[in-house]
Amino acid sequence: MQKSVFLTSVIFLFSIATQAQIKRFKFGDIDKSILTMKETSIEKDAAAVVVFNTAKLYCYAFSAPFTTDYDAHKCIKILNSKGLKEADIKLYIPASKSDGAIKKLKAQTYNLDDNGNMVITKVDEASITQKKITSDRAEVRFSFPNVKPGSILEYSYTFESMGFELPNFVFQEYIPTMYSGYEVNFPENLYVKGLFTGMFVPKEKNELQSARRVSTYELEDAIAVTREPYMSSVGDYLTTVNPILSHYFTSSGTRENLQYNWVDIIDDLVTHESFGVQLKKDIPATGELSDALKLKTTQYDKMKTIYDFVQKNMEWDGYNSIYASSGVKNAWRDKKGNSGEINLILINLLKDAKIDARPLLLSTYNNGFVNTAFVNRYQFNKVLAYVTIDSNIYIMDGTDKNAAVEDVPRSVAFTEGVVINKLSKGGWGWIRAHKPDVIYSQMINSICIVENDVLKGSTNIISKNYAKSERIEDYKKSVAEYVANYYVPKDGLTIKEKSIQNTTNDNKPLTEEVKFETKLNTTGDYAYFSLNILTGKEKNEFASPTRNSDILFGYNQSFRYSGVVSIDAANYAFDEMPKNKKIISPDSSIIAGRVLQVQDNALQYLFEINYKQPYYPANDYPVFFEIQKMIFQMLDEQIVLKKVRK
Amino acid sequence: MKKIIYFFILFAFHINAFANNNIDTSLFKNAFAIKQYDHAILNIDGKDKATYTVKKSIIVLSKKAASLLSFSQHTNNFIKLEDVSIQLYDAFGKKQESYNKKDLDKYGIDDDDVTDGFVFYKDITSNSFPCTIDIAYTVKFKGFLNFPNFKVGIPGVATKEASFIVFCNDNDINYKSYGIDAKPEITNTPEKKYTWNFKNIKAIQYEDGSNYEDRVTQIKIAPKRFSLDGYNGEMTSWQKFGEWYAALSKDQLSLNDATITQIRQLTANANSDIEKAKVLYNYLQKNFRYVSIQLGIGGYKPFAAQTTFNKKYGDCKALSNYMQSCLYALGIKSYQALINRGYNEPAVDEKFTINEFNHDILCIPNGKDTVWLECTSNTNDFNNLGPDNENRKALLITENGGVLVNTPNSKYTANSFITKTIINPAAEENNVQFTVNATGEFRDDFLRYVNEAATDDQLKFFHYYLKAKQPDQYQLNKSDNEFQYLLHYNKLHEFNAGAKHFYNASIFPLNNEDLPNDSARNFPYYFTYSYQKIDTTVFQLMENYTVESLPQNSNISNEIFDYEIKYIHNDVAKTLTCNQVFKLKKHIIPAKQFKDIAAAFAQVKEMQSKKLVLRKM
Repeated sequence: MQKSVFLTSVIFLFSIATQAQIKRFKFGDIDKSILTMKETSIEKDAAAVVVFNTAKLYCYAFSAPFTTDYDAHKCIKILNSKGLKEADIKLYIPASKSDGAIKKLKAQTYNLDDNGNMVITKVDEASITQKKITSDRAEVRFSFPNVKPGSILEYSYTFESMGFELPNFVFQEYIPTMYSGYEVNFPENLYVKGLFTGMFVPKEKNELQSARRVSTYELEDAIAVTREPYMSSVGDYLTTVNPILSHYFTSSGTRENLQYNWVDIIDDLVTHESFGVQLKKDIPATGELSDALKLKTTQYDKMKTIYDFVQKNMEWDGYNSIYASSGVKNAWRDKKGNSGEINLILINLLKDAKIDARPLLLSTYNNGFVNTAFVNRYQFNKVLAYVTIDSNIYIMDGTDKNAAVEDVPRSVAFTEGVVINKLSKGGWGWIRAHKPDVIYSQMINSICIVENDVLKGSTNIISKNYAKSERIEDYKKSVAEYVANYYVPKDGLTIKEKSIQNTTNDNKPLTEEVKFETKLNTTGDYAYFSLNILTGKEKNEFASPTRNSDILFGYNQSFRYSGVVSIDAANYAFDEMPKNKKIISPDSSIIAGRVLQVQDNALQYLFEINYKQPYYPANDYPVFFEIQKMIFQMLDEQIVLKKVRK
Repeated sequence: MKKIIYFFILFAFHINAFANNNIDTSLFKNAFAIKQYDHAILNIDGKDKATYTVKKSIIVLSKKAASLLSFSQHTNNFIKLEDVSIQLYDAFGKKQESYNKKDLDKYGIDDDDVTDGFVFYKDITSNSFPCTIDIAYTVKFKGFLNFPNFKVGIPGVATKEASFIVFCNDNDINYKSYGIDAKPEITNTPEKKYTWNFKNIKAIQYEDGSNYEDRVTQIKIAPKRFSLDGYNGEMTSWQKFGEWYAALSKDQLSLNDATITQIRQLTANANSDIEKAKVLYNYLQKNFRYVSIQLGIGGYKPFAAQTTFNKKYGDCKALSNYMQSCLYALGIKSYQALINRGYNEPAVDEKFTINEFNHDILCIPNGKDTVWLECTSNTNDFNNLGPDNENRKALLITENGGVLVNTPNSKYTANSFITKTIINPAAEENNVQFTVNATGEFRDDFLRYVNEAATDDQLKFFHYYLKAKQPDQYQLNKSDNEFQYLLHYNKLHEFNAGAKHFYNASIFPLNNEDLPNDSARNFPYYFTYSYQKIDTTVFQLMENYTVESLPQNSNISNEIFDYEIKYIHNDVAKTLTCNQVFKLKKHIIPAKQFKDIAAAFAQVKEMQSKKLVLRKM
């Protein structure tokens, strides 16, 4: 069983075993049975499969300059025409040769001819291209020749690397992998430890072999990892080992530590020119902000005033960073900056107003979860303001123009991060960016009437917290697209009037009033309509019956749809109504229900749907899938009217 | 009323903010941005040297035009970006940002293409609107085929003042204006000079589904003489341009004896030239793949045919060149043809010779039986170019140079989606059998997204492409062009009211086109291609069910499409059959007809959404 990466994303293994060695594959020695293989038992419908993917990281000696050889060897089987794209290879290396280079690259394709003989076609050197694609990255590209379904592709190379950042090894990709193995082979006096992330834990062995310290990591029959709805990031699920230089022993037997710990990182950050130093800069006051603050007496009001000011006046350039690379003063002057600059300004201003504000280091969903055991500052890509007032916590991102002060910004909701408590050395701690009482909340109430085969209605939509920030973000991007996506997702709905209020990031709910008309579907003496009007729940995003990743909403959710539908009794009568319903997941984390009641010429209805967890583990998905399907069926069930014959 | 006052205050602010710029207030209509000036000078020096200098200032009125706050220039061995100066100002003229060439990002060009080019790029953000961006840059050409088109107007952008000047030293140009009647002033001292001046050009409104070329007003120019990497050519006629292109591949056509022998063996049993071409095309589709490699001579020179054969991959020109070489080895004449590929790509103007092609296909000339081959496709039928190559001019590269010819016209019957559904509610397993016979683009979609795809992807296709209800059990069998789905739904009917069960007439909506809600249009609306869909759905009636209500038979017909739905109740066979036919005969709706056709489309949706009502006894 795979592990949920969400709460247990890190596992250290220090097990000692004997005979550390990954499987060796001789280049060119391909088993013919692989050529005749038609499918893989890992995933029967896979377009291609990695037969093996191995690498050996070799360090000759712990000396300056510190160099390593990374010998990679990979073999891919193309199973059908969809897998042909695997034959176009891109390898990314540093742009500067002094940082590393690829050598001894060889590659060839294997096929069976009509007589069942193996035919090998080599990749010629002339068709291998290398090109600098950004200032710090180059790309080596080549395409395998003579590739068709059934072909085997094999390549190997050595990457000569300079520097202490050891290359990690990823055991999985977006096609299944039959075998992957990584060997880390270092001098006896140099200790390396492997840190795992992802959905599986590879088999690890550590051994001393002829004055060499050898660690091996292996994984067999690994499934493919692909993007799924509400997945944090693909990278969180790819099984990976990060080898880290731990320590070494000098010739005199003294142990020298090579690994940073979080204390080192935080201590370095608080004195870093682009981080801690920036929090001690004087941000010149602006008349507008100073005047506004003078009118505020409570800490909460002052905090909100500062947050609003930064949100309103600072333009984010789209880049996430924990650093104020250009300095907070420049960003403040230009009213523009990266997320580090804007949020360090926010913290700075809050502190100036005597508010307990601290930097909170986090990683956005796209950047992947922070691995708390992997001591590396580059895991964080965002710094936010962490404020405590009267034991209430506020987490603010000045670049998110739509988040209310009470919300945890959506891009980091329910992730783990580091709060730096004081800007002197040593004060820090891990927290989860989560407030259980701040949820995605939406209430819709409609008053409708059916006349002349037309359903006319007036709907009031109230969105709070995450429901509000999600909608106003889209609203601000394009009103036309907002109307098209939120109000007319179903055929035939005509919007007659609309109004929207409270689109600022205040505590007031977003309120929308929509007057609409839609022609009823009719068949013979029957007319029918759905009560799933303007809910945004037209499409079930969990349509796939299988799933490998945890579902990460980031917050709890509550939906309440109610209303009244009146009919013209001279022309219609309600037919038999769908039954009232209650749907409860086995662990009661999802509860949904429908109540319908016809009285005289009016139907009163109420739907309630509550998701009481911010995330659902992949192992629970079969139940989640069925519940979700039932909820959508319940919402879409039609109300049938019988036309009165005259 | 409040909104109107606010609008006028905002509008007055815009006008006030730019009062010094003397912008005609009429330019604000439909405009998200206004070019205060846009001056470009092209200095052509002989057949392979030129300098292109641009100075422009754009007032970006709202975030909707924020994409104009960027700079991008493609470079390669022949195009070099000399210098750039970019300034961003706020509404009060205060400078906010300033960049030059060293501040730009430089990227290797494309994720999918192997090229030797780079893109210099800068995305600029503004914290307030309106704002003004000034951009000045110079590009040097060390060899050319084309020059940038001078765009006078694009949707949402008005132009206060613009000029385009071309100096020709020891060379000359051909030119043509599109979407605007603009003639240059021509002087000859000391060198030939063309000058176009524009003032107060109003913004065009963007319309969904319109063609880019319809919406842009521009001046196109083409050098009369050119040279690229030492290959000299003339753009004075299609014939001359074709001669130049032919020269690039003339040494690339040879195949070695072993390959020729193999080709002869492969086609030994074919009885005619066309049969031989079919065998070779089939071999190409089964054994070769498209890889975009655009290296050298601006990406115009193909791999040698033998190299393509050895590698079994290549780009469009490499694969066409290889196929041409094979046919040549068998004594069959064929020509490569340059084309502007893409659904609804702008038509080639036969009266103006300019290189705007993006693709290379192959033609085997034979009068009315001429065969066209799309050599990059592993799925197209023999002699089926597909609607992204059809209905347009292609430049045939003949032994006598280039000749413009028409590619075949699309037929809606070539893209057929014919389905049969048998619904048997009594079946304990697979209560729905759904069979698809697809041709043309539909077949291509099925081969691309369904054939050999993972089950999860097949289900997504079934649900999102066909817009069919997600089944509880699913199995797919394939044979040639036929895809048979064996499906089981725990609940077959859509909904019920007591004993009355409501069913859809088919398991997927035949017409799923979404037309924009435009009351009036200035430009035609383009569908991707014309097609026909035919569905027969048979309900096996169970003993304890009776037909309570059936919708009426309906049909609708106009110049663009035909639709018909018919219900047949056979009480003896205990079946209920629904036949539907939707024919999109033409893929372009003229602007004047759009409103009526859109209304007719809405009627189709209503007709096909009617339910069949069965009553459980």
